Amino acid sequence: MKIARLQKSPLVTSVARRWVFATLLVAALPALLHVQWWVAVFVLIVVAWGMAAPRSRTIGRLSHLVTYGFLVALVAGVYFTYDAWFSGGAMLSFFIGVLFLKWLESNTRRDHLLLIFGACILAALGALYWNTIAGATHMLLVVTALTVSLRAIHTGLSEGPWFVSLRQGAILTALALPVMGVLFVTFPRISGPVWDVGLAFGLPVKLMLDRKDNGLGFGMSLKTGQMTRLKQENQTVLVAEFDGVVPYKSELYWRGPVFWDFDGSRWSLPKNWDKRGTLLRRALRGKKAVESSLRRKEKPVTYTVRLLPHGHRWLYALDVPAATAPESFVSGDYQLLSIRKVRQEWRYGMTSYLTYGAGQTLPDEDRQRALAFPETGNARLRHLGRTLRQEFGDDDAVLLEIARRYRSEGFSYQEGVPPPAGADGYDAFYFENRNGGVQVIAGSFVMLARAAGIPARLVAGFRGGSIVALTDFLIVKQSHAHAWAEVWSEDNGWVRVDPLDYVRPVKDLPKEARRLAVQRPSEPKKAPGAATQRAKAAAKEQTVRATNLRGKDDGTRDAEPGRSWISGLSDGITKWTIRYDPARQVELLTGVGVSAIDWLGLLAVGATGLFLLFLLYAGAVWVRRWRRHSDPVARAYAAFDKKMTGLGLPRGAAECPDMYRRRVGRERPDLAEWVEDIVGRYIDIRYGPAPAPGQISAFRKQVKRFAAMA
Amino acid sequence: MPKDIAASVSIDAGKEGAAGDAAERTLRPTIRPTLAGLGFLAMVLAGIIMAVNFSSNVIFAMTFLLLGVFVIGGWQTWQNATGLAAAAWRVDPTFAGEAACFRLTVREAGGRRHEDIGVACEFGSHSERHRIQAEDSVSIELRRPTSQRGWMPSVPATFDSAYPLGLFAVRMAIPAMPRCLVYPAPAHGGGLPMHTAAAQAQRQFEAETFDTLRRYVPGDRPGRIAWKALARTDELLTKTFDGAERRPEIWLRWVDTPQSDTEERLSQLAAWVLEAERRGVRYGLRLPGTDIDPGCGGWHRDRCLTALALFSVDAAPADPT
Repeated sequence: MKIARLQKSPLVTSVARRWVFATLLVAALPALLHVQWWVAVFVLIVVAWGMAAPRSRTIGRLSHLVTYGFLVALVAGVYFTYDAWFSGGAMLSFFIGVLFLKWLESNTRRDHLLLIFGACILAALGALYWNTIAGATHMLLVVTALTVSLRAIHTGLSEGPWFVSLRQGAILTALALPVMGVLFVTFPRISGPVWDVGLAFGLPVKLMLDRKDNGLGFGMSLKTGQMTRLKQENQTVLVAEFDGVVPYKSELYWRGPVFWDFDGSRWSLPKNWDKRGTLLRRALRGKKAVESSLRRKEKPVTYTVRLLPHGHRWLYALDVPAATAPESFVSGDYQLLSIRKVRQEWRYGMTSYLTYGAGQTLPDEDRQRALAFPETGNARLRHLGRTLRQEFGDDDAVLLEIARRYRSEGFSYQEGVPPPAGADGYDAFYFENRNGGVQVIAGSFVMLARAAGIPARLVAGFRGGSIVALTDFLIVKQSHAHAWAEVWSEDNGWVRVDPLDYVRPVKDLPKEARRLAVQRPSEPKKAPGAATQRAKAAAKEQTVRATNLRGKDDGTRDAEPGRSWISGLSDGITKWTIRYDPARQVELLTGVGVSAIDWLGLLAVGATGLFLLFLLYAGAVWVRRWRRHSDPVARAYAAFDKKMTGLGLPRGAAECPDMYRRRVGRERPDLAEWVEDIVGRYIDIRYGPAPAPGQISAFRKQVKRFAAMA
Repeated sequence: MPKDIAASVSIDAGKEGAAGDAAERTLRPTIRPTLAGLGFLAMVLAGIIMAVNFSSNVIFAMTFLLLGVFVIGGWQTWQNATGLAAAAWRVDPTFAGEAACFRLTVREAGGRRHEDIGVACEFGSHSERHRIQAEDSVSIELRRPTSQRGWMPSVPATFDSAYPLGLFAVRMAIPAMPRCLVYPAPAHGGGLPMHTAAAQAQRQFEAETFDTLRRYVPGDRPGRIAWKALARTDELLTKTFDGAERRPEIWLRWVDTPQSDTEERLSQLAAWVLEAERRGVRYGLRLPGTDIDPGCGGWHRDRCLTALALFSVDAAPADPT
């Protein structure tokens, strides 16, 4: 395609200069509110200078010096107020400053184009801090201003008042809105940082960038608060590609080390755990051994993992691995382990059962370990365990009661709350602040289960991941680090229990599934009487409450009865605009009957939508032109002719209205009055003096009435 | 006189385009993004990457809205350009050093107003932009500087418009600007060469010699009416005399020019032609290899000037006298 060239960059008019300035100002506003206050002052000074400085030649030279001065001041400001050169705030401040400095010295068309493009980028950066309906409105304003500016730069806009220009720009923007709508809905959404997407498709972006510890970051033991620190990291741990559909994220538990031993403040692996001999002695070698040790296995998934090197043995597999990969084995605790430490990228295919009961027997030695806890600290929790055991008796009922307590006794999940330290740490959490991270929630659960005489252990790993939209890729990062519990059930073996789900119901399941997920761990395997019923009712009530709570966290409250429809509408708008995401896109498109949703399908829907839109536009233009060109009087008279032809009285080609009127009067005296009236009006309009305002519409009305007459 | 015929053919050619009036045609635009448009697209691309990176729906919306503005702007550019029709250019011969004035009538046939239509051709674009009202005709004038006598070659010309946003530019091929005849620039000064008797055109008859009778036309002097003939034939006849209506006749000759350079001589002859025409003298032109019999009037002048414009030393016989 050859590019049409703009002529040498000519100067812009003062009107265009003003519009560009307005665009810049509007675009910079939200960003200005988010950087240091001095940036706004700086901009004010620059603008004041730009307005005040006369544009004469001598001052022109001086103004260059002034510009350099401003630049130095800007750099100094960034240096003294921000910690790092490349922090977000510093870069944003610098960008704002430079844009306004550029405005100061711009006078050509090209400069101004660059300025408004820069303004757009600035507005986009500002939108990062303002991801609401208000932000969207601001975006509309910026684009309208940009449109007017483009017109002003191109045509000068030197004629007509400013509001006419504004209206023209607004009309163009309004016409672009449907295009935006179609693209917004159908453009294939990819979530997550761009480098993640690259990573998913095998670009070695991240691998080259850092060779830091990418795993759980801890070796033999899990200290208090370690998980919280880990969750703040954003390193990628692994990329998994699923065969077929990616299961719900809340069902994905990437199993890492399994901790049995608790000394009151930390969970640790046995001293000689890492020795190959010890590991291999208890290992399940081969698929058969693994499969036969599983008592319950449902929901198999098959996937391929690309694991980034982390210097430890574990190869993460989904709970619970059903096979081994080359050069690996499954430990007695169902961890997938490599026979050597993972020091380079590792790729393996794996099959797992998402729902499982593992282990045929629990040897006495293991049972002892799974029930042990220090006899010194956490006295209240130990006491509570004993009490529960006495009150509820059977394991399932006790577990249900524990679950109920986590759910309904005001526990909340918050990562980053300083975890209670010391030997009574879990007591402090469970009975006092009731607010903590995933580690303390899971740890206290295991402790309580053990105190109640239920064998339990703590599992660390990752939960969920980020789905790369419209693909079967899942990226697991350190921020997905998680800890959960497993309890021994005589019927099923080791069963996973995630106490976090009691505290904070899962998000990413559809409503029914979500309810199930919340209830599932507490579902009685055998109906153990009244206690279970009570717990069940409580669970149900709690689910409802928790769902609402969750909604409030997200800002996606479902409309409740009694709330005004306006707020309902605004919530709906927010849900479908600000919070539109790959999942909603899929939901929406399946809702309108698109079955296969992949890139191609989305693009096809988008293209069809755009095509229909343009047909609509072209039709509108055509109708408008036709209306303008065709004379309403002629159209009405043609309708009259048609009606008369239908009545068997076609007007002859050479018959003038007056002749025709007289002929009809002779042939059909019953119609004479009508025809006299209509043709009389027609003659008045056509051949009389300029028609009065109401005359034409009266004529058309009369024709309509006549045509409607049988 | 074959040379003479050639010259008269050239005169028609000099007013080329006049014959093509009927061939009005609708202009077909082609559309391309401008450099600014590509910059705009680059910005949109950056926006999409930003939106994906930050998973920000506001940025997504903004990006798509910008894309919408781009597309709708392009569509408006297209709409603004379609529906024009143009016939052929008209141009009159001009003297070297003056600007040739090309005129093109553009008719609006689409029922729309067209903004910001400009003409571009090889010798530089025309800075003036035109607004063409619905159902209107506009005469677009383009002045092309000339420097040399002879044919100025035809150049292709286009309409262009990037209205309203300047992100897309539309080009329409319009009829090529025709070749244009450029007469030699007339020299300054120098009276008409009336001096030598030999150079004077011979009058065919003595002045005031009775020549013939012709039918009376109201306004003829009564003294010229042939009363005798009236008595004889009952018809009013007017006597005409040779030389009575004939003005003095001169020959403008190549050899009479005081200059020695070919171009200067042609300029001198051109000046004489204009001067003779102004004074109403009948004049003939005698160039090496070309003779044009005495005459007068616009047509005769153009014929002489055309001969001068197209004069070529190579075509002339070796001995110019």
